[in-house]
Amino acid sequence: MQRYVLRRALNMLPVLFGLTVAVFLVMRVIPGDAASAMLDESPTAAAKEELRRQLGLDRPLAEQYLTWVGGVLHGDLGTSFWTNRPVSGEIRRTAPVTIELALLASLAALVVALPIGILSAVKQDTVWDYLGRSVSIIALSVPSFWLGTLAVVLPAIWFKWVPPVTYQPLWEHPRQNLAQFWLPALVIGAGSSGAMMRMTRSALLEVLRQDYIRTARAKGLAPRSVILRHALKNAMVPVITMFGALVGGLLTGAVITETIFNLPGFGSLTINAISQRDYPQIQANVLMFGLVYTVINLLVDLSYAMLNPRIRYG
Amino acid sequence: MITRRTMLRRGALGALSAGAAYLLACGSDSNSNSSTSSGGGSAPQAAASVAPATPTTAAAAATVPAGKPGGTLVLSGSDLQRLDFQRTISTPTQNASSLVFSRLASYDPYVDLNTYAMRPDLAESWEQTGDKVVFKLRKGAKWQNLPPLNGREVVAEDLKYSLTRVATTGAEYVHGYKVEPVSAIETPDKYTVVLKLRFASAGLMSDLASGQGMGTVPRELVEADGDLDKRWVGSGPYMLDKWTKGSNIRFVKNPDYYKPGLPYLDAIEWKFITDASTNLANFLAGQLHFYIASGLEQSDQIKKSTKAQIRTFPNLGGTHKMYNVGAKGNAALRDVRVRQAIDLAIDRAQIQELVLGNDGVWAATFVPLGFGEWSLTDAETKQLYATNLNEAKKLLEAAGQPKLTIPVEYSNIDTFAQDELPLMKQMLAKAGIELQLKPLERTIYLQNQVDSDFNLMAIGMGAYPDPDNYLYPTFHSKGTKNYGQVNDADLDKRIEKQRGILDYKERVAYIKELQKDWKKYLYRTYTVNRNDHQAWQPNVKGTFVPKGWDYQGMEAVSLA
Repeated sequence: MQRYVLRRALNMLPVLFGLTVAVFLVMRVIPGDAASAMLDESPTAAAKEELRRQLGLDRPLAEQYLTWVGGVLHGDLGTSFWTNRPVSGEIRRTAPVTIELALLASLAALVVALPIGILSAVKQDTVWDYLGRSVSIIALSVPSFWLGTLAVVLPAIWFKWVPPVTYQPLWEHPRQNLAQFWLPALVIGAGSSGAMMRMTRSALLEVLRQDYIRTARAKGLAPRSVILRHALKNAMVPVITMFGALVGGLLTGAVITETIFNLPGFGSLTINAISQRDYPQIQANVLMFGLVYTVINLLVDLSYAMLNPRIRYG
Repeated sequence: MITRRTMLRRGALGALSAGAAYLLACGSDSNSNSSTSSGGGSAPQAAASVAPATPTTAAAAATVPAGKPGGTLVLSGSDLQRLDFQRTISTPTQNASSLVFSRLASYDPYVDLNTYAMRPDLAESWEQTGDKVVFKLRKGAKWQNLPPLNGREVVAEDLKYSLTRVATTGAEYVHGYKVEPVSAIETPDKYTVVLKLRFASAGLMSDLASGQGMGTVPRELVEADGDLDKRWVGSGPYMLDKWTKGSNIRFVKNPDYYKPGLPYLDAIEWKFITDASTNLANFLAGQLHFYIASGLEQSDQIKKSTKAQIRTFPNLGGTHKMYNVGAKGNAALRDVRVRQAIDLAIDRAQIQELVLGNDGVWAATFVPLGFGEWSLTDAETKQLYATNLNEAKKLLEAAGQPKLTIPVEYSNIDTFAQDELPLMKQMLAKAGIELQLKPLERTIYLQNQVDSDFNLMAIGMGAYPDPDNYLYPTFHSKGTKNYGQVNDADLDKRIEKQRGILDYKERVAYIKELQKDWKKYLYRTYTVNRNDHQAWQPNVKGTFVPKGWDYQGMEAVSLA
């Protein structure tokens, strides 16, 4: 197992390298640069050229990339063109927001999806199954940005109530923090639960048809024990895969939900950096995305071994 | 249902909120001051022979609203890009800086909406001639009682330092052009600042009063910190308490402010809310005291759901259509007859009705309607710039362009252009002109603009305090924002002449004539300007219209 983990960790390096090179080149190919964006409505050709020089954008591409990589290897992810602050500071500021939202939303998705998916599978072709499948279709169909907007606007009109819009860190003001996060977490969780419900249902149905389940029932085990102790574990492999992808996606930032609920998260930081052509910020953020996804994939793969003893890594 | 378009519109309006009532005009009829006005128009009049006016001219004496001390006002807006407002054009930074940093003079926020009267600020009075401006500073105005200034008095050397810093050569010092007429700054005594001028500049006072980049900054702070990005210490009504990037910025009352009794509020909290619907929801729920509605529909919703005070006035910026008459533009557009034909084919009444829902006014020249004396009247505009399709076709025939195809570029976040240009396309098609609509991602759009790499471009404009602030940079052959590559000797001469007319009434008349003659040039086509709707909660007193980027009027806002 340790060798496997080490091998996977080493495999991450070329992936991350390739990712940063690709993003670096793509951003330089896109027309417009930070100088154009920063000078906004007052640009003159001379001012733009000078700003490009100040930002180092007139240097050869290879030199710009290698300078950045050199900094990364020394723990310096670069300085934002726009704010003149270290980009790592911006990541540190926004990452906790996105991590918290991702974890809460994922939990909400699980809490909603698993029971309904299990109920649907166990009560296949009954009214409970039809209800469960209807709920999953609705969850899949309703866009989270629409739901989020309604969740903010309608209570304001009907009850003169809105969720808090000023971010308070969890460790400083836990109550205010959760007061701001519960609604966006629920919105994202509800939207994400649809696919997970259906996956839980279909995976469980397949497992419930297995011989060992028939044996367990024949032995006289309680139905709850058969489902939860014997069947569910084996049904969770595809669900975990889906869950991992969900968490990975959320950790890179649910931009629209962050915007609607005014959460200063990683997704908004990235979108702003792209529109502002803030290359150091974009490169650092993409590096973080890559790291998050590869680590999550590794954890998901390792979890298979926990769920299914037949799976071994060497 | 809140659409993406509404969301983006709100974001654009948030950035324009500070320019909502920024007039080119300055001064009402009652404000017929000399160039020595201490509360005069943006175009000071007369020559050195006129005696200095007293500080209490009609406009400067506009009553500061009475109010009850205490309370925290909550607003929303976009996040600041950085704190050093002399090195950025970021609107939120400029708006915030106007609370903390004073200027020599400022636009009076308490006179009526269409009037830009100047009032004393750090300068009690000033006298402008063709070659200099002499300011007499207010005695006893202090820096905020924070290190390293610790409440010392604001003196002439401070103004000299600050104006010199604005003019620093460097790409980031984007406001330097405002002091271009200044050749030297002298401080003969502690309370006198003399700006020596390279040339007569009627628009200079307007620039100095601008809420954009012109706040007075202290040398000690900049030298201690290296820049203004870490701390703010100003002499304005509020002090910066805390800026939490991505979340909010908070200001607290300056107890040593030089205007007795002001400010009323204990604090102002500015929440950074980026989503338009979230913004509106917060106002409806009473969590914000101030909101700028994105149009009649939102304004009506606010009226239905709240008892908010709503003020409606013309937005004085707007989107214009800029012709590129340079090498990279369509050659046909270099012929003024083609530009006239395009202008004649536009039905402004229809745009006003269909795009704005009649919630706006005509705009036909470079001075928007609503700038008081500077503007042509609505009747004059409608007469001079009425639609005439037959005339348009004749002009195109005469120019040898009976059929023409013109790409028009616009920013993908310009919601007004998104609504207006398809309608314009239909209108111009009747005259034989095919408009090809090309939305561009904003940074690419800006790049094409500065590279003059376009044919026709929908371009936004902030409301400038004085016609010269707009005319010279945009249309003079040496202008720094002449993206359309205008090189018209006659127009150059007229622009240069108006710069030197210090007599206010004479200059107003001259600018009006230029507007009436605009069809001879037509390097930009103007169509309509929408109205802005400003909403304040009912318990807010002393409300004002931010003129330009200037929120100094918050000094007299109070909560009942």
